[in-house]
Amino acid sequence: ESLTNRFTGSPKVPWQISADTVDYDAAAATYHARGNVIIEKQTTRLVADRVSFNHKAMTASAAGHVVLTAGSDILTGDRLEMDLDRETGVVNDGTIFLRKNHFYIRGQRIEKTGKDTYRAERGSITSCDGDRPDWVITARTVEVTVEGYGSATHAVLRARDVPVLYTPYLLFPAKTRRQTGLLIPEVGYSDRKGFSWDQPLFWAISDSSDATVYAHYMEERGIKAGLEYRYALTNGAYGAIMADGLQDRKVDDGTSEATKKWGYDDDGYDRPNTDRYWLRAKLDQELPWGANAQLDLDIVSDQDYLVEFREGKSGFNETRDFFLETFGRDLDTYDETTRTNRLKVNRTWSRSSLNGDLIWNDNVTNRRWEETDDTLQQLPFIAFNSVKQQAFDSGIYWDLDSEYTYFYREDGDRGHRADLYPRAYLPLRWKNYLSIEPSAGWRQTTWRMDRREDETPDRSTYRQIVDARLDLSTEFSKVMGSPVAAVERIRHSIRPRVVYTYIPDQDQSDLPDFDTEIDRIDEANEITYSLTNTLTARTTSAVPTATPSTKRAESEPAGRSGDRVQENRVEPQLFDYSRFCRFYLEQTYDITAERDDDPEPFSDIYGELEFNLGRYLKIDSDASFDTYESHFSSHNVAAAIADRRGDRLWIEHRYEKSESESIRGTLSVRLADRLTVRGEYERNLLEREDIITGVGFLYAAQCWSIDCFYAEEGEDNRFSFLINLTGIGGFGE
Amino acid sequence: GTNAPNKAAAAPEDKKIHITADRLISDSANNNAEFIGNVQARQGETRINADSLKIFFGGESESADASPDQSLEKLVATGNVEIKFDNRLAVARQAVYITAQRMLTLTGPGASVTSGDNTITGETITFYRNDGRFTVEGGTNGRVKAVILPEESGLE
Amino acid sequence: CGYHFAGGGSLPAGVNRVFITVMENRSSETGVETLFTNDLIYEFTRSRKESIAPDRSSADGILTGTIVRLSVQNVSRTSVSTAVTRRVTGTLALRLESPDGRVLWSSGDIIERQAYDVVDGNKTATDQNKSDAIAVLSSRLAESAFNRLTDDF
Repeated sequence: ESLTNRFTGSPKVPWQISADTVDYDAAAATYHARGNVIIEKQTTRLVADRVSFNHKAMTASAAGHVVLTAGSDILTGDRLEMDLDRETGVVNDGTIFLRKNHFYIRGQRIEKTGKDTYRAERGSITSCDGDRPDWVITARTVEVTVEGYGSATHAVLRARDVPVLYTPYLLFPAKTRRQTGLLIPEVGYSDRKGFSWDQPLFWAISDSSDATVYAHYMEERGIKAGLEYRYALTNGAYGAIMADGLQDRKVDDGTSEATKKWGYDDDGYDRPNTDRYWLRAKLDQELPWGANAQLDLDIVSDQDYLVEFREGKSGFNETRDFFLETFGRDLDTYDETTRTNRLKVNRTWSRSSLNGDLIWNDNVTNRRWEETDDTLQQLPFIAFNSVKQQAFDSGIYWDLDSEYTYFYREDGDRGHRADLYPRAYLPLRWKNYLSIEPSAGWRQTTWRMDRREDETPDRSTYRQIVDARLDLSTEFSKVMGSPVAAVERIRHSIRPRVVYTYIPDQDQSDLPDFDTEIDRIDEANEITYSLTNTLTARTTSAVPTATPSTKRAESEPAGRSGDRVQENRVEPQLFDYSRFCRFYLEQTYDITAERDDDPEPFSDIYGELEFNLGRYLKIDSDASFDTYESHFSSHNVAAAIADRRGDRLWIEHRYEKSESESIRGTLSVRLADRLTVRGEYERNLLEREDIITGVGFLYAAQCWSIDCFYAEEGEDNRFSFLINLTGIGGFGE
Repeated sequence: GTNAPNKAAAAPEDKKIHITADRLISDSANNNAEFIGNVQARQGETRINADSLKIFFGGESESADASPDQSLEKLVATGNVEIKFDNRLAVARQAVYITAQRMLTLTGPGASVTSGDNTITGETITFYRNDGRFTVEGGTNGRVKAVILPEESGLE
Repeated sequence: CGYHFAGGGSLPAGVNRVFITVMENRSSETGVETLFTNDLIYEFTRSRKESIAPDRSSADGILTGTIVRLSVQNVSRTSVSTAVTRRVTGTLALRLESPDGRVLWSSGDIIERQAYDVVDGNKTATDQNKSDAIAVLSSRLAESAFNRLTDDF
């Protein structure tokens, strides 16, 4: 198709014109339409009082209340000259409204330079409705590119006509969702950093990648430079690489004063280095034959960096949320000082999967402050697993886990290990009453030491060990009416289960001991019995869309929806099922423990209780009760309460006997429809110490918002202040 | 009624008007004639179909050789009027053609002119054939509607 | 008393025999895709063994899924930079497709959580606690997924 066709849609699509009167002047080949004139074709629609339309040159000039709608953009003005073929045009004293990101671009002369592109001279940009916008960016030229970015030259940000900020060049997300270089800095103060100004400096985009340079000025510490590069070539090949660096003016040389102000005293290490950096990356790459590769990098300069720089644009929290959202892969938590770096290749078939990993656990404290580093690495780790499947067409099922690992330590033992672990299952059912599944596994493992600190273990060793399991379970349920009008039916289901597990006692003391999961198989001769109660509510879904777990009642005559069966056909009903309560109890009886001198064969009783009443109340709790000491070994409760107005309280209390006890919570209350107050609190109850106390507010006007937060965390008091211009900058929604 | 072929005067071929109809009522006293019933008229490339076609002649033109066309003052076609002229098709309830001004007025709701894929419809369409202009009115609350294809010859 | 032995419900869209394939694993936990898939298959062999199709050709529904995310958060700290308990949150999304690829039913996000203890200074032991927690998570996710798939009262 010719460029114009592709550009304006095929010529075969005609323009529809309607008006009160139309004159045609053959000499000028022009129609003069008057009276509420509408000219439209596909997604372009021109409305005006008067339009003259030359069908040869395909041009139109409109006057009087001109409104040109092109896709989701609306161009308005008094006079408009338009080329209907290329759908370009010029409007004087006009306004473009880009509905996607709610932007108004006004200008003395606005050019529609293409299907989705615009140029305005002496224009202004704002996302505020109305004639007196709270903020506006005036610029010599404003352009909207085909990718949907807006660029402005000699831009001045004015808050109600008061010039606030000038920048020679500004990029903003006119029609795209992609985050852009943010004009607006994040300003803050904290004891540890002093006054801070976190500002994106430079920002370059192409259609498949973007790069951002940040400068984070900190009065006490110096300027931290940050670089962020993201690319997305296809939906199988995309990645993000980020690096931050700082010459820190403060060090923690171990004196209590320095540790309190510039370090953290609970990790047992000083932090004498001034070179502070953090390189992290995640890449996904599709490979041939249905395989794909994933790279995760996470290399930090010292054990304090991530604790220190959790907040801010290129801080830990932002990076982690972005990685989780974009790649579905998390980072180690900020307090973890041995950080996982991994290159993984995976190929999955319908019944099995092959994984090859190179895993490097970067132990920062060993690397920086110790002479030796005995951190365990897996270079490589290869696993081939097959899922449970029927053997031929017998009643027997089997599955297989197999793996090879080369364990590497810079200092310490190194060795190969291969493990083959097939299991066989015989799932049986006695009518609907009982499900019985005996199963057995036979694990063979062999090691071959590469380097040994001392003589044991032997150079190569072998172990085979069997295990047996008997899994008995049943389930019965009752469907009953519901006390609540909104819920039609409730099903209560009870699932008792008994599992006997047997693993012979086998001396493994002469085997290598790289990891406990496979290198040491503990003996077992125990019965675990559990009871699961679930309550599920059925409601008729208001909107018959395919919402999760919405099910269409089958339409065969014996449809389960029983009472709704008309004489011959069930009119299909859409039901929502949601589990609103689950209560689980479990205990283990250890048969071998019977012969101990002070036998305590019964384990703690472990229980879980989960309540889920829509948005308004969620409770998640678990506990384990020591039957011999008759007290709780641990109990944890988390509750979230919300109302329709947008207030939300979340509280979690955790207790583990003589280990830890903590409470933490966040509260947000909507004082007015624009003002929300937030609070955050965490306390170590065992040592009676506050960990974090924070309070702040969010004022959200129609096109801007202010987010202030003050927090005391450990030894640091910090205050952050962020203005966000909706759509332009800050951490907009 | 039988088809009464009109006795064509000896005018040049493209000037001759051939009209067929079920019946013809001639009112020479008032200088008009009305063809009624499935009227088909042809003059050169122009064709008119209508339920009835009334032709008004000029005053007592003495010259015998005045071809009927010159003395033809007005044609009024009413009822399912279809006019094909200069590769266009006009459809209306009633069409009035005034030869002196070469002006054709189509009226009746949904009057339309189509040329190729372009059409324009309205309450009244007025054609000025000497300079190719035309005007379309939407009427009291009706609207003029046009469908125009780019790069087509349009409706002139 | 109204309680009767449950037959394991019925599958959506009139599917009778389902072929269960290994889930896609978007998380960084290597190899959990077969663990999660095995737990889902267990739920079927426990109560609806007859509706498992041994191969793709004899199935009128393909049950596949995605481990959308396995994220970890500190839930209890003794100080700013020392966590004692973390929690892994698993998000699973199942799809039942017809043999020619049309989506017959989708579960939406199924989310379960499980806490585990941090072993100070011993990442290998902490990672061991994490994979034990992920194993518990996997069986609970399979239980929730199976209930959502077969709820039809």
